[in-house]
Amino acid sequence: MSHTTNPGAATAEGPRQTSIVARLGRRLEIRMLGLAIVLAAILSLLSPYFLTTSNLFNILDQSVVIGIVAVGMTFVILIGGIDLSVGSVAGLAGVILGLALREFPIPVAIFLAVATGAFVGLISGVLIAYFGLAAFVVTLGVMAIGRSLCYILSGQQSISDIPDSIQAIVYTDVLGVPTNVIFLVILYLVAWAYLTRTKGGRTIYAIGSNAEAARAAGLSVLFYSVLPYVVSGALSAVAIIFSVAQILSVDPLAGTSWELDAIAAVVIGGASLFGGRGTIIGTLIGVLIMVMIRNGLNLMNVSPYWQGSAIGGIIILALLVERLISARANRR
Amino acid sequence: MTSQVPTEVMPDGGTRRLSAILGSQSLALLLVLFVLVAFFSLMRPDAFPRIANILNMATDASILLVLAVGGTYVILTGGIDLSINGVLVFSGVIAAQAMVWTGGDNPPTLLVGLVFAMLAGAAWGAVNGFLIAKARIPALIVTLGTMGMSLGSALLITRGIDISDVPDSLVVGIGSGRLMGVPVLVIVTAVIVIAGGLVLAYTRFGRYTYAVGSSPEACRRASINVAGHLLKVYLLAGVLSGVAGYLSLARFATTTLSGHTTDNLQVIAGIVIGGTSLFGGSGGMFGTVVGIIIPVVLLNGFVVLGLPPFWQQVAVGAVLIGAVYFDQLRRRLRDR
Repeated sequence: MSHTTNPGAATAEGPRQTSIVARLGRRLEIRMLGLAIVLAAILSLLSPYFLTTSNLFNILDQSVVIGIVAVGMTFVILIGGIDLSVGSVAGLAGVILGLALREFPIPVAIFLAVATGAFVGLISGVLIAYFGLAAFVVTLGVMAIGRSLCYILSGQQSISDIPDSIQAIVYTDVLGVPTNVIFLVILYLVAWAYLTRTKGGRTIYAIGSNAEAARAAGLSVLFYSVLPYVVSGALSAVAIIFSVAQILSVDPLAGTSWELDAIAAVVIGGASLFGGRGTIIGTLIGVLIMVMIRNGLNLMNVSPYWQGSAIGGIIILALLVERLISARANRR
Repeated sequence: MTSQVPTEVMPDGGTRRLSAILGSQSLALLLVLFVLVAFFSLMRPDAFPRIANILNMATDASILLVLAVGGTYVILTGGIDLSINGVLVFSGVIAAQAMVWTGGDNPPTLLVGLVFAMLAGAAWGAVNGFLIAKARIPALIVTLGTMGMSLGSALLITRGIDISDVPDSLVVGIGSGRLMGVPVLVIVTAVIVIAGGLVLAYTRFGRYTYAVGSSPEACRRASINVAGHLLKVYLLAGVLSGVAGYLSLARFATTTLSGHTTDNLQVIAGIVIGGTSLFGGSGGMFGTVVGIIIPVVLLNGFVVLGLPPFWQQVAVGAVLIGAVYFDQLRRRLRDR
């Protein structure tokens, strides 16, 4: 009954050494990167505009919002949790931002919005980790509450008196690269460094693999079980700030169904919903795959009604192929 | 590990059946429901406790309840089905289209519609079941994908424009029809719920559903065909979503392409409020019924009291979290 670092993989493969598990994990990312490249190749064959510099910047620009949310979702899924409330929390933070901008300067309003997101995440995290309630249910409840607070606080109207000057946080170019893309790159670097290079990051993996073993090893399981939800809430708020800065308006429905996009991106990136397995690089690849599909369908003038089918189909196909390949790899 | 499994899966028939019918926390929930009803009745005795209003609430709950019967089976196996709202809309579109092609406004046409709705639902249920049971992809991801696919297909077929060419006899006979004063929708729903509850509590199919959710490994060793059973459960959920799509068509006289976006989460919330565990193996149909009805009563009560309906979602979220907290407490007390 020895505790392996990865029970999910261990049950699938029988008693093997961690090094093989780690190598498989690495190969998974490579496979998903391969899928992304194949997809990019197909799309550039189908549309001459796909591989232009301006469109590649477009793809990055479209990746920012969902990419930011997906980082928080990666943290949550790594500990074996799930956060269905990201869209509602983003909407709530957006409404707070819009209301705060009427009274306060931009930095204060941004702080209030991020603090709102972090606070809601803290509540979810405490209910889940301290009171031991199922993450799916708690965040489902918070999702409902958050969305109705959006309506109540905004008076059921879009807030569109956002000062133009807030666009500076998105459209300031640094060496020709817009700030929102730079922020995304820095966020992924920081998240990658945190998850792979620090004790906190390793604790998060340990909790997702086996919370009981992590507790027995003296790690502060409670703190690192709450932290991902706080990160997820705060990053949802950051994501809506970038979105609001672009469209200069907040709708009480803002952020609807972000949770599904974010979960899909994380899972396409190879993370296990049981926790303990997944990487931030994988998530980035997952985000890019999702955004490339949307972008490609738009470029080819495909009816937007196809998008649900195409994205749903590609997610399932990716996992099916992945399952078949890894089953063969495991049999060897 | 193995020693606890048999008692978990198959306790002696009597108590198991009783708990399957009543569910574990459903008595406390019933109390919550009674308190809510009493409160709203005292606040607005002239409006809330009227027969018309009660039938109104029952009609509002009916389509969700049909979805929740399938959802309860799925969640009892430890799975989840997010695709039910997409499948509902898709089935409604297929049924409407089939009835347009058949033409006429008579019972055979209506039957064609129902058969096509159920077949459409069964097709998506089979896709879900195959990918989850045979290909062993997590249910959350599969049904997230098929939700997008089924809703997208419905939009593609209709080009985004609702089909409102629904036979009058369907709308008048089933949608707003009454039988001895009771809406036909409510009667149909009651039959489905009771049949679903009895099958769950008293048949081998129901027992396997609990067993698969409690311990798939133990089932495999007891030579229960786990994958085959999961396939059937998702098929059932699909067919019931098809029926719900048909009922929605009858009630609203149109395909309501964008009218069901949160049905899946409402249904899951209701099932969980009703005490069915998301980890599978424990819960029951009675709890599901109460869990679906509580939010409907809350919304109706808020409207009757003149409160903004948005507060209903706050209340439902709080009840949802309160219900799992209560469930957690009860488990801890029992385990002590």
